Amino acid sequence: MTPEGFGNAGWINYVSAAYVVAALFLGSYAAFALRSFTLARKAWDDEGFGSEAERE
Amino acid sequence: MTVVVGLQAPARDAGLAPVIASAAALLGGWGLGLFWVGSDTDQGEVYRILFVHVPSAWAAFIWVFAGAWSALRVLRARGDDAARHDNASHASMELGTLYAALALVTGSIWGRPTWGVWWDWDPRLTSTLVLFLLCCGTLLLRQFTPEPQARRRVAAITSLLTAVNVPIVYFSVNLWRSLHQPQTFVARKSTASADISLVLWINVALMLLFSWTLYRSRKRGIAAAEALAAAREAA
Repeated sequence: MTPEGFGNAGWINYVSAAYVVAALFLGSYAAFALRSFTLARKAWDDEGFGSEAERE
Repeated sequence: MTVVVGLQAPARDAGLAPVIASAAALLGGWGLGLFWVGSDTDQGEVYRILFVHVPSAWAAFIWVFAGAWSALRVLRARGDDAARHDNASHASMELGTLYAALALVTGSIWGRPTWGVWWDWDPRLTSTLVLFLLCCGTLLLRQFTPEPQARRRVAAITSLLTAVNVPIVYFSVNLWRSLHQPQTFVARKSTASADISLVLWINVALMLLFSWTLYRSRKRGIAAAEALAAAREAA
């Protein structure tokens, strides 16, 4: 047992750190996933590629 | 417009709305864990890390298994089907890596106030670290194998090997003497109270839902990048 352990003193620092880290990890990955799609789609449109499906 | 025969254009939408909606639902689940459910008899308030740590670990297991399942299909499929399953395996293994890292970090933050250390070479922690490193290895091999067919094959085989480690992580607390507590939920017997169990299940479900929306977006991103590369090559 440590001073900041079971006695609850400072618990909020550990709990909030865990949730903040989780939000940062998940938020960063979500931004990466959405941005990687957006960039590829934008390049596709900018470079003027179509497809048979789109032409129809 | 340059029309590339035989190529499917990328999807128009990345799936932003489901990501935002499921993220809001997940924040609601975290709110239940932080403010609604009572404190724990032994650990007091710090146990609330449970509601992000356990769902992350489960999500890691599930996405690594999903990646291995798609990898099996890659090995059996040909042509466009193999590419489609490879995209699914790629996105799944990325999520497996993300969630394994999150389980390690949140576990470490939980370990400091309860065990007095940030890290211990305990069987559960070590096997989870091995899982994370195997996931990273799979993604790196994919990155450094330029030829598409070889890349699919190498990534599929390493994804399958990575999935073998998941049962080892899960049962490590039973197989070896471990500092880590046993599984919170085992068949027909839970070590948690009813309201803690309920909030934990809600958070597991919401984390999986959120990760599913991330998976869909990422798979579309990978498919869009591949379609773009193929179109550039064909043009």
